[in-house]
Amino acid sequence: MKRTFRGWEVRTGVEAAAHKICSDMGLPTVRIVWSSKVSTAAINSSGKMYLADIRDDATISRALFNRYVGYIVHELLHRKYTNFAYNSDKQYIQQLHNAIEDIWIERKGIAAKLTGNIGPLLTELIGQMVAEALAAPGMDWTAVEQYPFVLAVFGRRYAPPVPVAQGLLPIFIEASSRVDDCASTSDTLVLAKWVYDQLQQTLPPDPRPAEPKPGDQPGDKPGDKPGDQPGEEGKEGAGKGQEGPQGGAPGDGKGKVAGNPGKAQRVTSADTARETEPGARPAPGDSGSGTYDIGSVRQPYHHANTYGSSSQNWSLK
Amino acid sequence: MAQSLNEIIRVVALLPLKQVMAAAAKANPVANIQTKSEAVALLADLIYRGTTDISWVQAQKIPADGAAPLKNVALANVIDQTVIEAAQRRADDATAKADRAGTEAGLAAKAASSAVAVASRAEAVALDAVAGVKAAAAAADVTAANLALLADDIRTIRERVGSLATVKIDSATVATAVAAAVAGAFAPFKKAVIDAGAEAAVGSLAGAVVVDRKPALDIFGIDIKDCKGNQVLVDIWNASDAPARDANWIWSEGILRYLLLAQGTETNLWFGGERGTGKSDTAKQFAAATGRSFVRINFRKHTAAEDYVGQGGLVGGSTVFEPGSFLRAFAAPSTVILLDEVTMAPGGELAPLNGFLEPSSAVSYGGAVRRRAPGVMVFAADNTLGNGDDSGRYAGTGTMNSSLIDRFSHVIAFKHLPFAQEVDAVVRHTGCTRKLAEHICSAIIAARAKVETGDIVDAPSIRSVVAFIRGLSILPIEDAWATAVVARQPSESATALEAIYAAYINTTLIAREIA
Repeated sequence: MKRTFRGWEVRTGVEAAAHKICSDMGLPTVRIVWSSKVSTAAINSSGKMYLADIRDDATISRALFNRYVGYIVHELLHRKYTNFAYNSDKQYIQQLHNAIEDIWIERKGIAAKLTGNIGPLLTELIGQMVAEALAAPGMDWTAVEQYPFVLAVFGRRYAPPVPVAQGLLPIFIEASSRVDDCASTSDTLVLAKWVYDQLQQTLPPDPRPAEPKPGDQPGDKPGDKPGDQPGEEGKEGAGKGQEGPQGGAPGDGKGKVAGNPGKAQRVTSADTARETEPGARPAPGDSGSGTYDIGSVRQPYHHANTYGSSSQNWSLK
Repeated sequence: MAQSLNEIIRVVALLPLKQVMAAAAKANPVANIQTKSEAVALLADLIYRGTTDISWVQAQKIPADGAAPLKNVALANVIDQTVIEAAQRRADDATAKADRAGTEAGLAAKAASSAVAVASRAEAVALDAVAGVKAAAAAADVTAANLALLADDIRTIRERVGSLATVKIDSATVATAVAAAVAGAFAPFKKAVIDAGAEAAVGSLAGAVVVDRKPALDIFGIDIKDCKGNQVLVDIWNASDAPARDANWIWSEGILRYLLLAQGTETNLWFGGERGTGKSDTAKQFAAATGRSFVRINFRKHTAAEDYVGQGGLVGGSTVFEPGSFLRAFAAPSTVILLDEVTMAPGGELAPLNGFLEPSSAVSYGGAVRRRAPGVMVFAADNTLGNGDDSGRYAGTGTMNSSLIDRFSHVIAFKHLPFAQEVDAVVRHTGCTRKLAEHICSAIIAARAKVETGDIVDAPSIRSVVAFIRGLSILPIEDAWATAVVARQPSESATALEAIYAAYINTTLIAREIA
């Protein structure tokens, strides 16, 4: 089969595949929006799925192509299992909720074998995310903004190991165990709040001076605006990033831990978290610039309706 | 090994009388030897004691004027026995003498010698007995071995006979072969009939007839009952050129009901649906199962009415109407006629069909009135249910004239087999494991989704599944998918099927199942 694809092929192929998989899962129709303003895959309650746009003549590797397929499968799991009515106003809890919800829906999807290759596909997806995170310069695994992402990886039993800051492991082990007991999105939200409480109550306070972070006002919802996403992954950190193959967490048999980067810090109500959702973005020269947006073609003024108003009720999932 | 006295006696006794007598006279000229027994006893004693040997006796020449040697074996045996007994007596006498001498002190050496001789004799006799036993044992072993071989042979023969007894003769195959042979033999006659334009007349005389009526359950494996709850019976014909049955063919009850409805009512059926849903093969397998002839007429953009109905031509200076494949089949009882890809042909060129497809039709064409022969069934097949196609997937198809479609009482939309039946069919055709067939069929079913809503991606058919699985025996999994499923698609649609591959095809599972 092909090793590389043209951007236009990927868009049409992935879109067609999304419809087929959606139909095969017995789900209501989705609409694909190729947007140059998003770097993560997302779907909202009305079935509008956002994917990072690709230039027509971009050369896309099979690995990235498979990653796009992984996104649509992941997002369709949200379409199948997630109740979008349950959410939190607090950004940090929202990211914890996203992390736990992702773990929950993927475990259910894999157990139900919703697509024949769902396990390896999602394993590859999270594997690429972890590889990028581990390779990111200046990644501080002890920073509180990373905890939801670390939980999102740790809870996926098929994911490669990531460094888990000291003190987080007991909380995450318990959270991962409780995910199996969840029956709905409301349950995962309750669990997210429990994790948030643990992170606030059982960890020592951060001795470092607080730094102002853009867009971390309480009640703000960064996920509401796809345009907010680019730039989040490159945040500065302490630059520890120790990695060391260390096997799984003792006794839990679930998530895997790659090393001990240092002590975890207490989460405060002012903290925000990094995006936990799978991220997709072509290489800088290949990302889209609005050359093709099937959503805008099908629905005139789509951009104005969605992006022009923050009151649009959809969230990144 | 030294010979025993008895053995020596036996050997000597078998020599000619004259030779023995001459040897005895020579060995002891003073002895008054009167009989062969005495001569044998003397010579044996001498040989046994080592004074002479048997070769010396055998070397003695027979006197020319001597008596003829005994030839009577029975008499010789009697003589031998006499000789043996005489020699034995002499040996006993010698032994007795030796014994008596042994009691005398002055004859101790002689007694000892006699004792050694006796011991030697005893040993020789014992050794002879052992040798005899060994020979008997060896002979017994050989016999036992031969018996074992014989038993093996018998077992082999029994097995062969047994296997011959279990060989099943496929009557259908035999019948097909016989039919083919007969058809070959009658080929010249058939040609002559066609050349004479008399196939309709001959066909009605010599054509296939209904030879049986059986329940659908017996023929198709599906019990079909009519509205009154009675079993629907199937007409069984005896057409010699009926196609061969595909043992792996899976019948759908829904389709079968229409076929059975049509079998005796001159009802024409229109089969529509995606490629690979079994439209053409359904017609062919129905003919095969019911012993009917089968004729498939493929239509194309430039098909003219003359191509399939017939046209006039010059034969021997005269204008003669030459019936086309449709008319010939139409006149042959039992024939299932499949008008395949009929929407590819221009509407006007199909117009002649209208008259023929009427019930109880009698159409004047080519200078004769043409009637549907008994049992003729007409099916049309296309991908668009007669509506043509604007999507480009079935390029070249056109919308059918409604008057033609109206001749087909039922328009049946063929779907892909239900999942379980498709898995069954794949397992039957490829011999793969059920788990592998389920895995691949799941992916293919996902790939088929949305096709009917205008998605340009064509639906991979069961042929693609079978080709993919067969390809796995030698091709890498990706290559098998690419060539069996993806390659026939335009580029953007092919990408969608590659995405389906990524989402559905688990290479680890496949590798395990084909190992």
